Amino acid sequence: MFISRTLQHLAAWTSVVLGLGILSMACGVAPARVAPTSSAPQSSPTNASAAIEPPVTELTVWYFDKVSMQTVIPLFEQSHPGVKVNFVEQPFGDMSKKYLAALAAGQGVPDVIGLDTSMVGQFLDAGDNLLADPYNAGQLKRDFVDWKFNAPITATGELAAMPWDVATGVMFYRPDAFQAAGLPTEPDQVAKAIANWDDFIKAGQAIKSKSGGQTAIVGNEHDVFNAGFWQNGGTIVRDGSIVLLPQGLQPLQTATKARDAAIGANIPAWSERWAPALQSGKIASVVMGGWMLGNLQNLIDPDGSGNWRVTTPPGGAFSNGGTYIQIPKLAEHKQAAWEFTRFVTSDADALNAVFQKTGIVPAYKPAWTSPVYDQPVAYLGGQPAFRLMVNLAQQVKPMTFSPVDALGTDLVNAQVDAALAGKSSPQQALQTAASQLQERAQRASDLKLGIASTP
Amino acid sequence: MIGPAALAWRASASRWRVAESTRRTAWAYLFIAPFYLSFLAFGVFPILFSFYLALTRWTPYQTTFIGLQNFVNLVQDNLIHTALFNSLWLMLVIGTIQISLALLIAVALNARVRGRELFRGIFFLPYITSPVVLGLVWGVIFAYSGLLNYLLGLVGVGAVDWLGYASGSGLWIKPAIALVTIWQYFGWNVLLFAAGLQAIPREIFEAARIDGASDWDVLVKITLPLLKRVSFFVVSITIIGSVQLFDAPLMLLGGVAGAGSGTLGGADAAGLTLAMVVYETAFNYGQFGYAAAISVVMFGVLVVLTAVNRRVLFRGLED
Repeated sequence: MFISRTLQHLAAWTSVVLGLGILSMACGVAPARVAPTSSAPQSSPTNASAAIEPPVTELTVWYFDKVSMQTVIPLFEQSHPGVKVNFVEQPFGDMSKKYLAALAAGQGVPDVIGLDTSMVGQFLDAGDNLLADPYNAGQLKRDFVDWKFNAPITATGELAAMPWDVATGVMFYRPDAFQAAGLPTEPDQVAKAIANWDDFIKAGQAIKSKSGGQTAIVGNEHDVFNAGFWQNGGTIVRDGSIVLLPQGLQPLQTATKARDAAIGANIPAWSERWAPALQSGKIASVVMGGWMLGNLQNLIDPDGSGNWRVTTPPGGAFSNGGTYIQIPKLAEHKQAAWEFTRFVTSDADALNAVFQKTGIVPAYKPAWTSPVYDQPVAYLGGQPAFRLMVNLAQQVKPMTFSPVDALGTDLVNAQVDAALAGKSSPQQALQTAASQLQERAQRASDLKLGIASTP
Repeated sequence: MIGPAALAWRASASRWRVAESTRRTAWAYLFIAPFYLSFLAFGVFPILFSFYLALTRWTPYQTTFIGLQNFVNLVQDNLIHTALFNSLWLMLVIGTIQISLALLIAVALNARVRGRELFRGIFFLPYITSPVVLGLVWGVIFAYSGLLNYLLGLVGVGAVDWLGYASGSGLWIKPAIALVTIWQYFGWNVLLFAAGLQAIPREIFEAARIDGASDWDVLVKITLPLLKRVSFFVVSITIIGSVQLFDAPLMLLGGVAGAGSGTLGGADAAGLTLAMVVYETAFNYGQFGYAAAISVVMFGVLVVLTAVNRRVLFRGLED
């Protein structure tokens, strides 16, 4: 009896301890941070050497691309012996949610985070103002592509993040499909023959008819809208006004024209049929960010070396994607975070090392003098494609970010699909998206936005 | 002979005896501590907090109490109307087909069919498959040039634009989502009905047969009434599950993050469910208070539907 009672007590208390243990683990009782601490090696024979060693700051960095970080971090640590970088790879789709949760909890916020352009608007408020002390990023401004540096500046004049790469848009095309349709195949000639979207539609009709309907110039007409929208600046809200109509009307009219001419393959970008269609040559061109080269080369068409070329997109330069580096207001080691951010975004050697591994073109202009941008790209049949991306980078129209970018993008996408399905006119579609955005921004975020009409 | 001291001792002992039951309860609580502590922290607290959140405009940086403003707003929000309609449509279609199908199969399997355990296993298989895997596989099946349209083509039916990617019309999106969900969950319902059927004493059926009842009479007058309790459970979890539908539509229609061409809920927002709106509103648009208000409404809808279900199924039953 006594023994069983004791056992019972023991078991009960064990379960309580277990419960509290689970709770504390789940609540993220963080392990004691070791920063800044002395990094004196345990084996150091004397205390004197410990005093000489500078203290090591451990910097936490979140980003979704491993290759670029694994390239730049060793270079940084080499030149900054006082800082150790703890890189946490985050899945692209989860990163902004995790960041939001960390900001809400006020705990577990990284010192540095690499944000995709599509995420910047949502986190404008989260970033420390890099124009102020101790950063003074304004001194670096003239070395950066102008529009890229200005885009994350908030309404109150704060710089919420530093630009890393430009993500210039280009047109990837298949010379074999172009040749079969009687179109030019050399990049310069293609750029001349398909200088605007009307030329693109005509070329699309030629490709469709010469291939007996087997090949299309574009996946679907929504892609035509996207590229045109980005060419106009790809901005949803500017100066407190929703600018979907001035930015999107002409691209949507072009996309509707493209639909009437039936130049698309009815395959949406990134859908499960898209990659096979690009690989098999069913889709003859893609107008997107230059980073698409990596996707084609590594994921979509790895055996297709020589199948693709790049050229200036119809309608001119644009930007699509790209990364900004943010130092959260809640970051713990701001000084070291800035040293890292400055190194990643404005150390020419580091930028070019990353460029050679990943093909992402930096927004920091002095890096472009390197001959690496003139090297032929074997995958593109030996075309020196990167100089084109660098040249186009400076012609992109200015853009701005806003906290309702994600919502606005969803709303406009739905209305563009509706317009392309013939359910509304381009004007009506964008007007609807703008009113919906105005309404929901006011309702849920208490953000009062005007609607800019057509220019 | 009992002295005053002994009486006092007895009284205190009896007080101890009264306390004994409390003590036992306390021990019981200690034993289940690992569960209920986590449940309080991760179950009860978030639920209560979301009621508070629904009355605020909440961002990671500040909380503003705005009373019922979120609810006033969502009554006028077209996106919420669409999502509510979609969720109720899916609930009705999925509920009706899934429960009828499961009941039919469970009754059929209740007869002494050879290999019925094997059938139960096969029907149960989709239930234990990861929803993400299901979404990807069904995405390929539903593709415009996918497996289902190929099979339809073999029997002379034209291609159906299940996911609305080819025509931009959301006409078939809800049926596609319903099909996946029914396929995934009917096996679980079969299992529940089968358990309910096995609990009915065989003697009742035998007595009915002796009295000359037909198969139909047995089904309608004996089997179904005696399955009421199980049916209540099955209908309730089906209602809750289909109103909270999230993973299947997201996997079928989600597009790819950052791709810039994914439309929320597919063409015409035909596949947009309430749970998807809650998720998008909170985690993509950063409007947590509004999202909490939507989830409170969703909770209200579920409470009402479950109460109605209870009234309908238990009408005429004493307790």
